[in-house]
Amino acid sequence: MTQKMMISKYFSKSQLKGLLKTGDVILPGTDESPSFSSTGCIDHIDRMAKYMAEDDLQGLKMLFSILRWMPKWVIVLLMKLCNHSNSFPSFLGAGLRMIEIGLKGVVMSPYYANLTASGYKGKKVYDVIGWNPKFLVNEDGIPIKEAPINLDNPEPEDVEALYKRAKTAGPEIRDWGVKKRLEFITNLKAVILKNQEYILDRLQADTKKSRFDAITAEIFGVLDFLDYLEKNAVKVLSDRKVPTPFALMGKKSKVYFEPLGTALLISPWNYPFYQAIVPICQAFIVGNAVVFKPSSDTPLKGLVEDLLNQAGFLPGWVQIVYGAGRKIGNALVDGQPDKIFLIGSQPVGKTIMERAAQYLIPIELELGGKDPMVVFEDVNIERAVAGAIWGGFTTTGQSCTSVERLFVQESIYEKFKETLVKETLKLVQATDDDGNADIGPMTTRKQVDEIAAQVADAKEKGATFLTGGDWDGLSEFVPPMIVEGVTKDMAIDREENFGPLLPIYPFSSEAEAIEMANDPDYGLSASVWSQDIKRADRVARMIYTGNVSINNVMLTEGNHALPFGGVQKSGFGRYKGEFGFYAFANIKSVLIDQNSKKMEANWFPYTAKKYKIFSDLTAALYSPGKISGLIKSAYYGLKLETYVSKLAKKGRK
Amino acid sequence: MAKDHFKVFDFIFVGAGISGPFIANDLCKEGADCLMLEAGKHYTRRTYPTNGLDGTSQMYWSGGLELGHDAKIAFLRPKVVGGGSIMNQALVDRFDDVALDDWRSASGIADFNMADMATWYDAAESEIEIQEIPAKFRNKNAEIFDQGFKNLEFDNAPLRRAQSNCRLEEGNCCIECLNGCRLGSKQSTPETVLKTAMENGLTLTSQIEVTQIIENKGDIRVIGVDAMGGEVSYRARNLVLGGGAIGNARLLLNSGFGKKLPHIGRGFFCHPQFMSFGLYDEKINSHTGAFQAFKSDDKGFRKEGFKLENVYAGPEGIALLVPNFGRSHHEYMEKLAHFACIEVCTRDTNPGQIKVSRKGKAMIRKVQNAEDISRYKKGEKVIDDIFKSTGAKEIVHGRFAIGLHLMGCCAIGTDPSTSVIDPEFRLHGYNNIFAADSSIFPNAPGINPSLTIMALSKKAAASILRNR
Repeated sequence: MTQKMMISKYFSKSQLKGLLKTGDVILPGTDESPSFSSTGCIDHIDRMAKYMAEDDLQGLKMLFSILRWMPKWVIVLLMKLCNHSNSFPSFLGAGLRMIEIGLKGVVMSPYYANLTASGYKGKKVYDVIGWNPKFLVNEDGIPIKEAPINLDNPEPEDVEALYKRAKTAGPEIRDWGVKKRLEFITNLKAVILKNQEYILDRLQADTKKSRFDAITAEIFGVLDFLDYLEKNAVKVLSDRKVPTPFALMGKKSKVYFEPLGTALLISPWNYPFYQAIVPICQAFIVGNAVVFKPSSDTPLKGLVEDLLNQAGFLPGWVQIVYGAGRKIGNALVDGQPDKIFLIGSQPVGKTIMERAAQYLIPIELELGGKDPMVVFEDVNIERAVAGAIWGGFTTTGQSCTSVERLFVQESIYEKFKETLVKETLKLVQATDDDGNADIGPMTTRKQVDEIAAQVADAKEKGATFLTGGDWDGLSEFVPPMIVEGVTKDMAIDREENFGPLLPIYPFSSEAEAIEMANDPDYGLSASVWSQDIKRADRVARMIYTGNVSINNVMLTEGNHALPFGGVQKSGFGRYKGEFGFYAFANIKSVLIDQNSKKMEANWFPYTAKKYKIFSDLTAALYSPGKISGLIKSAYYGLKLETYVSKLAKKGRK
Repeated sequence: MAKDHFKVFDFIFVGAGISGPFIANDLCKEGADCLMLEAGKHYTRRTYPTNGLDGTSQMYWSGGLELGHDAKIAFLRPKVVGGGSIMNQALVDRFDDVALDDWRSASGIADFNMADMATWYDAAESEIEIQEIPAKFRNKNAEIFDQGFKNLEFDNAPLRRAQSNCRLEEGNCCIECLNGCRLGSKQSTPETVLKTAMENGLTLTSQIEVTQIIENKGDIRVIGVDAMGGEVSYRARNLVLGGGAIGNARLLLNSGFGKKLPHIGRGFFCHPQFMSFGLYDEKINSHTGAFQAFKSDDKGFRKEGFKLENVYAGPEGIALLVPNFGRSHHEYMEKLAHFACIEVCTRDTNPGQIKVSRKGKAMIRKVQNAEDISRYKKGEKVIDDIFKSTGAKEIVHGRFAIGLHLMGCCAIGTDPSTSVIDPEFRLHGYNNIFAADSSIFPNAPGINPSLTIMALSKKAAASILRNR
């Protein structure tokens, strides 16, 4: 893969460009020597900048900001003037000498220290200049190298080591600040765009989903989210001033958003790229070190690390751990992260939450749903049908927010059903390479078996399969199935189904639709379809769920400014949107008072007189309205203050 | 550590360079309860930076070079546990009559004479191992130096270095030791007296930059900043300043001692050094083997106020000294293996001054007057002659001077109006603040200072113990 994109903690991108430009004037390269820029030694500039005196660093930053926009000949001229600094009057000469030593120092030090970009293939500077000293080392002088941490099916000592590394990384990440962290996000966006086709190949290899499903949900979705971070992270995570009430006059109140430390993120197999990048970046942008555990079914092994690395992320910042969930999941919880965020199934959520409870680790769960789609009689049937088919079958029904129960008002039920069946039969199913297929096969064998069991159960209990009834229960190409006559005793009515199964039910009234849509267990998302927006809104409010789309389906996730999360057994907590930042933040309250001689009225000593004034003040402050109340409050407030200061001086007597 | 903040130490040492560890070693042996604070990091043989960039960045103040007001001299000021003894070329020479006579007349202290000082030099040398580089390990750069001296009939002498086993017979190249000796051969204080002092109970806390000292009726409070920028404070009955010329001056001035002792910061010397390179047709490979083996030992040079040294540096350092930029600079560096190097070290006569800015930053003012410039020009002329006489095809003079023997600013002397430290190594007017490092030098000796710092520290330790 390509070269890592460098981000400096000390220099802006523009200043780095200025440095590169200056570097290539000072060290343009010859037939023998590489040029300054070609070595990539600029990648190591922070190793110097970190230790520079603040004034020197500021001076250099200013210089590079200017030189960035100067034509090359101006830099050449400047360096030539520097050559003759001794012929200038002293103050000018001193300035030129400072510029010369400063610029040459920052350009030549990394270059002649033989540093290069990782993966640099050109001539090494030490070889060009014949620098080849032999250094012997006594046994007690051998540098201690940290043992490599195995993240692929880690042993307990690896888990311990990876958390240790995350703990060290935490303060580093925090130190960069939100604005600088966003530069990594910007880089990542560019890296993903550049590698889009490769990522899609990897996604399809692991998930078998159609290329179109992959690009819309995973690539587009991720880029859109990163874009959202770029535009909103600084605003949301900046210190905030909050009002301080009258009774606390003279004090200031603030809220700081700080990282929690190490976040453990566990993601499922259905959207392995989106559900990796989004939570990783959300946790990272707040300043947390991340331990990420992808599903062992669709691990995209090595892909995310590679992209993050290219974007300049350091290895300790985001560590990706592979292995079967059950064994590794527990070990990762036992490592005691500061926060756990899990997207997955109910059973996994339960196991991890139980484990987390032992250590009182805060946890947020995004579990499955049994999402209803409610269609009223006044809809445009063609559009609603198309929405239902997409909502039911996108990613072959393997989404937690897939439509799993379709409620259609009686008056249009037959017509709706007819169109639904007709349109469903048109779906093209394949793992394609050109974007021409609608849905792919199932991702995992386990899921095929689960669907097969649900289908067999429904058939046995008398459900009618309007499409896909001829599926053999074995092929991973599970066809889209529209099922009628589903009753409460059937598994597909109660359990989440992670496949292209869409039960359809008629309803008569708004009240009945609400009752049917409100699942006793789940509450992740829902959609309501009606020409009458007031009715749709009424129903949306009555459905006990986390997300509702009106006249659309699964679309709350299409806007990254909206939070995402469920109620009941669909999980709790919210991620994405403004609230998503809070999932990974220590929201710290700070109250600032002056260091004065003043004593507080609510501190000791308590006296009967103080009690009296205080209760008068309380009454004046909180009795309803009027200007007189305000005047009274001011009067009692002053009286209380005077008395308190008297008490402070003279004591109780 | 928190509890130590309330503890009252017998002695707090500011700076873990050469002087502090030598004094602490003798005091700890006598049971004194000592704390040593050092702004730099504590490296070990295992952790010294191995890359030249890291070495310079991490082990010097300001991340490498510091410039004075006219930017004509670049100062190198170590910021590391062991100070100069980690980064220097480990030359250990006693002062001669010339140096000590000048000290005696400047300070009014009769003890500065060869006989009296010999006791302390002996004591200092007993703490470290000293070797001469055997003739067979001299590299080609040293041979050119030697040959040039022979051709021009000047006297030179093999270097005495504080080292124990550089494994030269196995082909080791010592140039890396400028960023810390991985072999443990260089007799830096962490390998010698600092180690024994710690064995005898010295507490060393690194990465604490002391910013202020407050003396109040025998009670001393030392305030500093830790690596995270947090404030720390410690208490002691006595204080030993070992922060070097710039460090001590800055600390004392920032702590308000300048009013009482107007000489603080004055009398700054640095033996400005100029490196010159001779380019030869054949490869010299100056970076190989013992990279330094000779010094000049010529009475004429001494009289003229300079000496020549057979030295070398890392490529990132040499690159800064080589003139010009672009292709021409590249072409020089591509011939680096053909470079020989000699340095002239001048005995500067014109004192500089250290002041502090409003923010408390040290500001260096150091001008080379006509005399100092003529001293270096004379030395440079001899270097040119040496290179020419040994067949150099081209000679390149370094772009700027380097100041790495940072001396003075707290001169020792009998008169408080012209000095800062009294003959018993106490800050004038205080019986509990001491210094014996290079900051007390009353003028530039023209000889490498480290052995004399050790000797003075030995003498100071004895004085402190005697008066205790």
